[in-house]
Amino acid sequence: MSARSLPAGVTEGQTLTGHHELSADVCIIGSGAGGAVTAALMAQAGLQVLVVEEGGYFTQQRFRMREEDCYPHLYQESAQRTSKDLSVSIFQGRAVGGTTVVNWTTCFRTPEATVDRWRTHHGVGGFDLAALDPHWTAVEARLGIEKIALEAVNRNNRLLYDGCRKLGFEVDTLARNVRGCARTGYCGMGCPIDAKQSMLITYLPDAMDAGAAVLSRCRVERLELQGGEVKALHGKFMDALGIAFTEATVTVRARRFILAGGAIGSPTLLLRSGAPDPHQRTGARTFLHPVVVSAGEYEGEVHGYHGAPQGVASHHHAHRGDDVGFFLEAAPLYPLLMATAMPAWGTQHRETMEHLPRFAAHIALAIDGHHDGEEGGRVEVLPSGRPALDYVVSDKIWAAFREAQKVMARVQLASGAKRIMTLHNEPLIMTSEADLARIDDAPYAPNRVAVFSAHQMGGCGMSDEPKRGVVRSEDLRHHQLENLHVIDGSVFPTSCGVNPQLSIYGLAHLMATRLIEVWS
Amino acid sequence: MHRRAFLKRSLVAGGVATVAGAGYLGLSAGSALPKPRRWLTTLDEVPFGVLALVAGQVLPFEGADPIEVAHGVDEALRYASPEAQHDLQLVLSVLEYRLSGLLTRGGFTLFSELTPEGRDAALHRWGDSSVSMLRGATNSIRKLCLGTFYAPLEHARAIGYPGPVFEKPSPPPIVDDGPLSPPYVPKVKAAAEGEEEAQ
Repeated sequence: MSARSLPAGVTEGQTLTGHHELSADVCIIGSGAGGAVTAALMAQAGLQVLVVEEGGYFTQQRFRMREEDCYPHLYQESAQRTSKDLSVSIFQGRAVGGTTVVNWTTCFRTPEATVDRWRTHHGVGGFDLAALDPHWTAVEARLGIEKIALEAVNRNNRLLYDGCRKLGFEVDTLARNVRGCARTGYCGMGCPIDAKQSMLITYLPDAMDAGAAVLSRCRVERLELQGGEVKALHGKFMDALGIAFTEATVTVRARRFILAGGAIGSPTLLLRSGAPDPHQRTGARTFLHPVVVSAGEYEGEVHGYHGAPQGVASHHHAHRGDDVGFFLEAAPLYPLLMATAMPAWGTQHRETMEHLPRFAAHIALAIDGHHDGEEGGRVEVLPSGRPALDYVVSDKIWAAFREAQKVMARVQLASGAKRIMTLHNEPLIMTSEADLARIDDAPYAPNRVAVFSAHQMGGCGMSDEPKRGVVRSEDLRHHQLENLHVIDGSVFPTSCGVNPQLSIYGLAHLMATRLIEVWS
Repeated sequence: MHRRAFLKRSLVAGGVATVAGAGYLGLSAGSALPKPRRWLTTLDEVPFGVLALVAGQVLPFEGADPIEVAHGVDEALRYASPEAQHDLQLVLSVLEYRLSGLLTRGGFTLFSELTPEGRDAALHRWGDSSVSMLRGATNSIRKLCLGTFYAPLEHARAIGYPGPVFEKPSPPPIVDDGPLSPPYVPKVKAAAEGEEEAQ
């Protein structure tokens, strides 16, 4: 069977039968923040681009603001993914457009301190903030990234803002990638009005308008390696829901491959393919920005499910010397999400749920990987070929959580909370400053308090020293595979210290631009 | 303790029971386990029945149908890895066994033969166990039940959630081998087709 190229546009894998031999100049695995930006720039440069994506092609007509639809359709493992020891719930998108379809639109450029650490501690010499600057500017213009006005944030966020201000903590509104946002509150379920400028409606259409093809519902089983290069990609198609494989298969041959499957997907595919890894770096140093929650109950209704999910952030506690830092944001209170997050069961849980409209949820995200000895987790491959993340929350992070829980409780008390609840199996209920000391006695240990992650980073870390990284930093080329580049959040040597989507966009824009220059 | 290590220990416990040759001690499940109402997609009947009993403890109020919740969890598990499906089946089965009752409840009584108060106490013991994986497993099962129950809008509305800010029409049903969305028509192609039509 001779190889052919797919026509521009989306070909939905579940509609295909038989075996397909495809070819392209560049095959990009993954259509999220890294893959989509790369695809657009490369297609616009005249390269024949094929994007292969495991997720389904869900568009606005299916985004109905219903949790029962969105988690199975748009999240990895129906939002049931956890770390190997079950202690961290991991939220990660799975759709054409990747996690950008379901994220909460928060955009920050990578902090200078983070990029400095990458240079000084991880051998990242291939770029600096000045190199990234024009690329961030270009992405911000394309995605309409602007700060939200304080008057436009919902009460959940406003309470965080007011509490921080009263305590003298640095806090500010944040930038979002939206145009014409009606602030429905359902960014996490796929924007119902296409206001969110996700990859689904921006860079992927840009790529397709320039001739790129997108192939959905295709799980890449392995990369065929030969002579220090990727020769081909072998994939299997899945049914419309992405549960079972169909009988259809595909082989893609390309001159160059870009791996953009995200911090868990990219290392998993490399491991599954037996990619050379002489220093056992593939899958190592995976970071999560692990999160603890403080649920505060207020007089009157907060309606934390409506309005822009995130509108303010405080990085006041991001840098804590030898201690792990954290930053504060708000989280939307969707009923299913809160039902699973809230502790206890039976009537105790039901009573908590009945107060849902009056709760605010504030979160502390630990900045993992920024201290010596903080190695994060490791991605492994299960016998079925699916990923597992062995991430053990370190003692330093547990200590940061304890401090963060006190800070959040103070913020909530300062903004008028009448009752504050931690998400321990046996929740700690606090009503005054005097109660905060009880946090010192509360158990911070795996599966004793709820921990979440929506930011997966690392696993294919960049370093100019092959023994310390999977890819080099100047062009994100794999150290051992000539024609393979990794362009996604997996290349970060540490967590970003801010929500990572704009970091990925900017880096992808820079690297795609460089590769196009070199290849041409 | 990691998942595999925990499961190995559990399997050893099951193996001991088998070797003992006493169905009373080991792997036999109670006849009082709730039965599924329709075909199961991932769970076997014994873990399904145990799950339904757990759902009854997690959601003990009017409007919550534990067997329907268990069916919902069974369907949701289709998205989990085969390993996670296997582990959950095993955990639920172990919860029912007499031997695990001896090890974690201090008695031989099957989980399905406990009173509701006894089942609640058993779940609390697991949830507060010194073994992290037991706590994690209890939390996972709890969350699966709660998530399944609160997924439908009517159940969320019952606790004061007003629902989405506006209603959208239902999309076409999803068919296994059919497209999920209308095809994207690239602008280059649309422009070319427009030119062709004009000619």
